[in-house]
Amino acid sequence: MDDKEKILYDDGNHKCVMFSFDDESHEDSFLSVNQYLIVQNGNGILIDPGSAIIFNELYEAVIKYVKPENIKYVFLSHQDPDVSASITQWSIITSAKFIMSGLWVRFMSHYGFTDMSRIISPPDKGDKLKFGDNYLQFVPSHFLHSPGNFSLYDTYSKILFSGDIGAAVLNKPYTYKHVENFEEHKKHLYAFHKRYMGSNKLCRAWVGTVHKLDVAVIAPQHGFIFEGENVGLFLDWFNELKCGSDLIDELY
Amino acid sequence: MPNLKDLKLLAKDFSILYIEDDTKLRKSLCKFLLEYTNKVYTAKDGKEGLDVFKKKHPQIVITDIKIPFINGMKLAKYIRILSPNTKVIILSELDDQDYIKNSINLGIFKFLKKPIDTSKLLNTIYKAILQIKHQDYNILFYTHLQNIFNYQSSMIIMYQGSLPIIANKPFLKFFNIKSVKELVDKHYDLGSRFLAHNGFLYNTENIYWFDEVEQCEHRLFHVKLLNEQEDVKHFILKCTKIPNNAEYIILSFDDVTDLNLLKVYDPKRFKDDINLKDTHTIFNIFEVIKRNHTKVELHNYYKGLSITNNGLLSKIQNNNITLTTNYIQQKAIQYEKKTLITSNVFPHPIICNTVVNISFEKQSIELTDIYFKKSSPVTRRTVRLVPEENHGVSLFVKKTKVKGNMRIEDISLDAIKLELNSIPEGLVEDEQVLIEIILNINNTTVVINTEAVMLRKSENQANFSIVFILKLAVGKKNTLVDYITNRQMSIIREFKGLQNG
Repeated sequence: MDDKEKILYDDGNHKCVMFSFDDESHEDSFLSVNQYLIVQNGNGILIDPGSAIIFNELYEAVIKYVKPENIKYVFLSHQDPDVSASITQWSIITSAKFIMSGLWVRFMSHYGFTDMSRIISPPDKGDKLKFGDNYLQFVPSHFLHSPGNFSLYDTYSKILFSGDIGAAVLNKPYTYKHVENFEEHKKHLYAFHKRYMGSNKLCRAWVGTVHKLDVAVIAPQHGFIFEGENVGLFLDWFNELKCGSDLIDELY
Repeated sequence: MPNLKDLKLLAKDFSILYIEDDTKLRKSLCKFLLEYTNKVYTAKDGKEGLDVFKKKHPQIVITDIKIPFINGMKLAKYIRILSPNTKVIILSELDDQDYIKNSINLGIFKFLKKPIDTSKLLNTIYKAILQIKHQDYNILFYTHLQNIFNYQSSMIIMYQGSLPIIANKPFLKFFNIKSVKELVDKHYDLGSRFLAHNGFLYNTENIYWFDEVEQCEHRLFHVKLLNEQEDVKHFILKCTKIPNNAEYIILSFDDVTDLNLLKVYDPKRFKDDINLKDTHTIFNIFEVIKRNHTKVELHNYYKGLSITNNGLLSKIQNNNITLTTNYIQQKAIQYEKKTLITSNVFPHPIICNTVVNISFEKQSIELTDIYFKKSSPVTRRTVRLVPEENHGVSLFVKKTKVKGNMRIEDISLDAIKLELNSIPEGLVEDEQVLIEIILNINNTTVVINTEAVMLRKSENQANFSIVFILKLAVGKKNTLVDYITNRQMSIIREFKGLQNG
C-alpha cells in the first residue's frame, strides 16, 4: 500500500489513525500489519505498535499526530513480536504506561523491558480506563488467539481494535485497507482463524461481549478493517466459526 | 404456565386480597384461589378492600376496576403509598381504557381482561410471587451485608454503578444521616465532601474522584473529608470490586486522623530533612498498608536498568519490615544491598538501606534502616543507563577539546552525565558545548556528535560529575534509541547471568 497512514475517525477533538508499517522483507507471505493511534486533546494511546524493525518509521509517523511525551499509554493486545517487540524502544522514547495481560508481563524482559511499574494489567474479565472525555474498554479475547488477550474498544469513535481477530491473509493492497465485499473476503479470513483461534465457544463468548457494545468499525491488527454492515457480517461469521480445538481430529 | 404443583408449593404462604362487587364471581374465584393458598381475603368494594389491606397486609391484591366507593385504580394508588412492594393485579373490561390510560405511574403489576382466564391469572400470580421472593432475597442479602459492614470499624459504603446503595453505621454517623438516600439528597456526590490537599484525592477540573478509585482497585488514596459538623478527618480510601460482579464496588475509609500525617503531605511543612528521618510516620503508614493488604512497589537499579516489582508487607517489627516479592527483585536487592519502596500513600519514596535477611525459599526479604528519600531514580521520566566500559567521549567547550580523562557515567535520550577529573575552564551552567560520543551497537562503532547544554555539576571525592542536556538532531536521536535499546538488552543479559550465579 502506498499510503501508510489512514485517518479512521476525526472530529477535531478525537482522532484515530491507522498505520500500515510492515516488515518489508517478508512481503511474499503477506500478512499485512496495522498499528493504531488514538489522540484526544493532545494525548495519545498507541495500539499494537509492532516489532522493533518498524519502530523508526512508526515513530516518525506517530509524532506528526502527538508529542512523544504525550503518549500516555501503549496498548499491547497480546505478547507476539509483531505486537509487542518494540516495547523497549517505546519505553525509552516515551514515559507511557504499557497495558497488557498479566500473563505476559514476565516475558517482556526478553524484549528488553524490566520496569514493571510501567505496566498496567487489566483483570481477565476486562476493565475500562478513563481517556480524555470518555472511556477505553478492554474486552477479554483470551485464546483468540493468545491465552492472555484483550481487544480495545474506543467508546468515543466506536472503533473496536480487535488484535488478531478479523486478521486476513491476502495480497498486498494498494488502496485503503477495508473490506468491500464480505463474501469475497471470507476466504482470506478462514485459514488464519481456523488455526489461530482457540475454539468456537471462545468465539461466541467474544461475539456475545461485542454485541453489548455499539461498534461502528472493527480494526484488526492484520489485514482489512470492517465497517458498516460488514461489522455484523463478520460477527455472525465469527460466531459460527469452527476452529482450534473444534477441529482437533485434523491435528492429532 | 407454571406447574400447578410448584405453584401450590410456592403460593401456600402468600396472602391474596380479592376485591369484587359481584358476589357470585367473588365467591367462585375465592374458592379457586383457596386451592393454592390458605390466606385469601375478600372485599365487596374499594372502601372495605382498603380496610382489609390495612389489617392483613396481603402481598398480592387482585381487584376489579369498577367497584363501589373507591375504584380499583384509586385503590392501587393508595396501596402503592402504603406498601410499594405489594403486587396489584387489575381485572378490566374493554370499556375501562380511560382508567388504564392514567395508570402509568401506579406501578400496577399486570392488567388482565375479564372474563377471567384462570390460567393467565395463575401465571400472573406465579410471576408476582417470584418477583416478591426476589425482592425479599435482595432485602435479606442487603440486611446481612449491612450487618457485616456494621461490624467493621472503618466507614464503608457500597455502590451499584455510580449509585450508593448501602452504608454502614460509622459512615452514616460521620455524615449524621440515616440512610444513603439522605447522603445523595444532601450532597448528590460524595466527592463534594473531599477537601483539597497536596497528594490527596479530590475533585478537580480533570479528576473525578469516583473514576479514579473505580479504575484503581486495591490502590490506597488519601482523602480529607468534611462533614456538616465541620469535622475534618483524614482517611485512607480503598476500592474493592465484588468478584464476577464488577458493577458493585465497596469503598472503605480507614480513619487515620490520629496518626497526624497531614503535615507529611504538606510541602511547606515538609521542607527540612529532619522530617525525612521521621520513621514514626513511615511505620504508621506501613501499618495502614499492611492492614489494607495493599501492594507496594520495590525499585532497584542495575547499571541504570530499572528492575521493579510488587511487594506485599507481611511483618512489621521494631524498625524492620518483611516483604514478599519475586525472585528477580530479591536478586536485584541482594546485588544492590538496598531497595526503594514506593506507594501512592507515601509522599516520597522510602529508602531501605540495610538488608537484614533474604529467604529465596519463602520469597521474603527483611529490611531496616528506613527513611524518606526526596530525590531518587524512581522519579526519572527517561531510561538512563551506564554504557559499556570501552565507550569513548570528547567534550568541546568554546570549540576547544577538553583534555584529561573523562567517561560517561550514564546516558539517556535527554541527558548525559560525564565524570571528569577537573572542571574545564570556562564551563559554566547553561554553557553550550559540543559532545562526541563513541558507542558500540552490536559490535559496530557508532559516533554521535551533538550540541548540549550544561545543567549542573557535583563533586565526588577526587572527581567531578557534570550533567549536560542533549540537543539531539532527529536522526541522532533514533541512533541513540537503538543504542539504549541494545545496551538495555545487554545489561539484562548481564543481570540474568548474575541471577544464575
